[in-house]
Amino acid sequence: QQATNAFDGFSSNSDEPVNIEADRLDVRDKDQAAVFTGNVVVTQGESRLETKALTVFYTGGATADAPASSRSIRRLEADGGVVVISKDQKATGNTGVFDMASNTIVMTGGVTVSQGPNVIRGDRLFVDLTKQTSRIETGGNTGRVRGLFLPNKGTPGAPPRN
Amino acid sequence: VDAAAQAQQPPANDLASSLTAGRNDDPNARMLVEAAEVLYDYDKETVSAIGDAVIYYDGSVLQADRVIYDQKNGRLRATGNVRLLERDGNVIHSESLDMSDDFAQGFVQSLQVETAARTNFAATSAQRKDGRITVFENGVYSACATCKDNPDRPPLWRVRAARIISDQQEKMVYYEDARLEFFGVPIAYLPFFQHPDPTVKRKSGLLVPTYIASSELGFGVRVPYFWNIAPNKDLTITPTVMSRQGLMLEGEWRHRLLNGAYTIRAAGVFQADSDAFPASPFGAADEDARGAFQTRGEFAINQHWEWGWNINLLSDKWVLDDYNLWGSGWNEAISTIYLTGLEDRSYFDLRGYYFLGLSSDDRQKELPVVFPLVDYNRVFDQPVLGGEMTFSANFTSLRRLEGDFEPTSPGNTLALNSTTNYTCNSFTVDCLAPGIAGNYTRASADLQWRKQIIDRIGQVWTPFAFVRGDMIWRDPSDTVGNASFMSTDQEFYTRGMAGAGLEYRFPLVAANALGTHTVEPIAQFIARPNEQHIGEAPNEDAQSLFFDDTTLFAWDKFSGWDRVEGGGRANIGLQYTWQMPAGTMINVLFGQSYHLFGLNSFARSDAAGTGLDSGLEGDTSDYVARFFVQASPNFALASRFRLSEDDFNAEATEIEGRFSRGRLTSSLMYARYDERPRLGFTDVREGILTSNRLNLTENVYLRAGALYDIERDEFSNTSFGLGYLDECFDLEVTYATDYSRDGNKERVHQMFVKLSLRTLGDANISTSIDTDSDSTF
Amino acid sequence: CLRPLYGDTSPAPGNQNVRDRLSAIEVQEATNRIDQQIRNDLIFAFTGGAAAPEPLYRLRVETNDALQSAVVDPFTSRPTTETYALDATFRLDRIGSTDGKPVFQGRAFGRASYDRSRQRFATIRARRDAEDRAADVVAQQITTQIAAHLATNP
Repeated sequence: QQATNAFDGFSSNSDEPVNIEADRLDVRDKDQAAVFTGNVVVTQGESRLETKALTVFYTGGATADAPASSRSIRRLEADGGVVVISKDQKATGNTGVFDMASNTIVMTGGVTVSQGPNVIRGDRLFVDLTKQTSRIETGGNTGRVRGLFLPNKGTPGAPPRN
Repeated sequence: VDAAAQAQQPPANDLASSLTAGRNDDPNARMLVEAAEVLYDYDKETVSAIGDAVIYYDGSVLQADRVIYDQKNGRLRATGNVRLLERDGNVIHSESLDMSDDFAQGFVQSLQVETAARTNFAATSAQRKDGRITVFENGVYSACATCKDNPDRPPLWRVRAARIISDQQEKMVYYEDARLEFFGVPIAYLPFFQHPDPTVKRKSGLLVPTYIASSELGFGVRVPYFWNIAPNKDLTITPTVMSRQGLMLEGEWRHRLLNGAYTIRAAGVFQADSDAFPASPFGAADEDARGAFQTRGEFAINQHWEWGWNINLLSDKWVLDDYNLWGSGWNEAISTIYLTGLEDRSYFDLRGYYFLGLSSDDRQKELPVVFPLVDYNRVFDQPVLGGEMTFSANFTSLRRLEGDFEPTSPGNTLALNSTTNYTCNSFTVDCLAPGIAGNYTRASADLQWRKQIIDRIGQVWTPFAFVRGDMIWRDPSDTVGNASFMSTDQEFYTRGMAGAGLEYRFPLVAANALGTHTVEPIAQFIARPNEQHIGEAPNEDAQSLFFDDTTLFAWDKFSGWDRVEGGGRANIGLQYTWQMPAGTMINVLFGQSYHLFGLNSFARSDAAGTGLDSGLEGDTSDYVARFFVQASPNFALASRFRLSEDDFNAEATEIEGRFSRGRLTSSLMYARYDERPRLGFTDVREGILTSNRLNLTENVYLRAGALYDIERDEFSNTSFGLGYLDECFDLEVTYATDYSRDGNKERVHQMFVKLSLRTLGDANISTSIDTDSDSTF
Repeated sequence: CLRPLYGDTSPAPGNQNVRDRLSAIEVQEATNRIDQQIRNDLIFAFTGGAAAPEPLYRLRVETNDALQSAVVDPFTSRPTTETYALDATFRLDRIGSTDGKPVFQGRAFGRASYDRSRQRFATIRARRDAEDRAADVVAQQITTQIAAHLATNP
């Protein structure tokens, strides 16, 4: 039961097609960026991302019909409430930055990561997909990170429940 | 999601109060983790909470600098000033802790545990198995709090053991290879030792033995076994083995029911060496089998009515004192059965009495058996004729086998003892009969009316009236003793009394800087016919007549129903009350009583001599006064006087003071009663009773008490105590000398040592040193 | 200067109704014979035997008692004269007051002595009479203190 493989779907080395739908698309070719706004839904394999505004930075030229899939995506910036869902795992926050180069994801603003009965809440989520670790931190103020778990019943060392 | 997380975290007070007996885990309890930072590691499947992490789970709280939760193996590893607050209130401090995620299995490194009962364990390491048993390796147990400013100073006492096993299911703590240490110095080696878990209130088992050493009993040990049959039933069997008197067996049964509780206790012994006790009539030398039986019960019938009994049967007068059973200082063993009702403004009591006199001068046949004895008193709720109407009644019926005759004025040389029944003819001089042999029954009823009228200028007028009737059946046994007091033939007669009167009070008040002053002149006038049949019947319940400030304004100054005051009388007094702003109150009363007309009931005495030397025999009575001072809670003075009306000689003086300031609390009572030869008090009685306590330090205190007989210029009894008391240890050493008891001149010196280690048990050793007798104990 | 406690001709306007305010005191129910004796005395002292109006105050009296004697016969170890000591604390609250602060509180105590003899029945009845006498003194002291307080704090 991998708490964060919800993000694996977006790691750059996955070969699944990325499909983005939105109400509107503005392309700013000189910045090599495509801005999707209004009910933006990004799906790749079993993972799915919903947000209000998504800015995709890519390398190489952009064409109107399939800008994201044919270019390598350098960076995704989601804003105005981000929800990432994959199987029974879910992560939400105000903003989300997916940096394909460093293979890391940073979500900020009331971040909540839940997976089955387990939930963790904090101010910032920092995920390192290569090291397969993720860290939830408070935003430096007096807040606390809070996690809620259903302990492993049965004898210790039993295979993890799914 | 946030609301769900919040609901799961039990509020703080739930944790402390969730002291469930066993460890019935809540199967779907969730674990709440709080920290500055939470780190997930997916390969190792661990969640690390870093930065004063707190984990709440099923009533327990784990705090540490860092907690790693290994989800794959279900283990929790905490490191860095770890503090585990368990559901049952125990607090474990340690450097590192490794336990299962349901907090049931754990292995703790160098820990310190404080239990809910404020006792604490410390150990190099501890292993907890299936949530029940905690095994401490070379652990230390103590009920003393560790010293705050220098924690490794050894506490006053502790038990150090190779292994301490605390079983929370069985509620027991076991020690292997243990040593009891005082201030870190081992004083007792206990290979195997156990005691109930401190949180246990009732548990079967041996109670702490008591050691006995006395010249009459020899050496002995008394070992009680407590059997906790049920939460509301228990039985304590206590054998006592004594070197000189053999085995004594004692049993106490206690049973609590829904509406009340009762106890039965008994003790019996076949004395091996009865000659150790004084010969009769001062001791039980000639009795081998001795015993005592007592049962008490109290049951509530409803919110206002209850009934009960307190019955004592003894084989002889001295068994309780000789084997110091059930407390000391038994002058008499009064058995009674009662039914009592207390309503809003009425009171009813039906009871019977059986008296066992335990003093040397008591002769059992001279004490009456009283049954039935009925008292009823009711104040009418609604005003009658605009005033308060009170009805009260009494029915007394008693039987006495032998007359009780007492010599009065000096010059009677006959030494009193209880083997022969004296009559007045045995004495060469005057004699009284406080107890007439035979049967006596009286039924009385009394109706009183009073009304308080305040006129315009503030004078308080209280007209009152009363009427009363008695029916008396008198059947004195026709012995020579009785005949010298009253005719001994059976007789029934009635006696009546009626009266009317007025009480006048004019309270005046003034308030100034010094406080509030109230001055109150009081005058009371009563007109009644003469008292009839004085002395023709025994006086059983009105023998004591103590004329003082409390009887000055009583409509009937007699203390019981057997006598009734007659004739015209005026009672005059002045009362002054001063209430200072700081709260101090001073109350003074001074007054005198005047016999106006008719027969002065106090000038004619009855068989018991009531009224003689009372200060009321003359037309003008003695003066009576009281002077009370109450200065905040820690100083009070109550003094009362009766001064003779001709030369102001102090007939009766009582001065009582209570004082506490800072560390000293003391109370003192001085009393002096002038001779009352016609009542048998041939010389002045004067004494001082004092008890004091001085807290030398917060824990160490000194106690001293004494009763000094000024007339005999000797101490009647003294007791000195030195004690140490703190949260885990209680030691008191008391040295007491007791006055000679039961006529023999021997003074008893006793030394009591009471030692108690909280939660472990207490021991008390008492030795009585009879300095006057040859034996060393 | 001294003026009648209950008089209505005195200058202090509110003074006349000291009796009315006294009779509006409801005395809390008693749980034993001695407390009931105090309560009965207080009710008469407050109302003078007339019917009590709607209560405005509530009076609570807590008592504890003891027996003490300084003269004990050394041969029989029995006290020959004994004093019944009754101590009471009382607290007067206005009914319906929410601040929990009492209108007035204080202490009172009564002492009554009696002779003890070999006849234990006579001793028990003498002590019962002393209990009543001490209760009457306590009731009197409470009444005097409350009346004086009401008279001087309208």
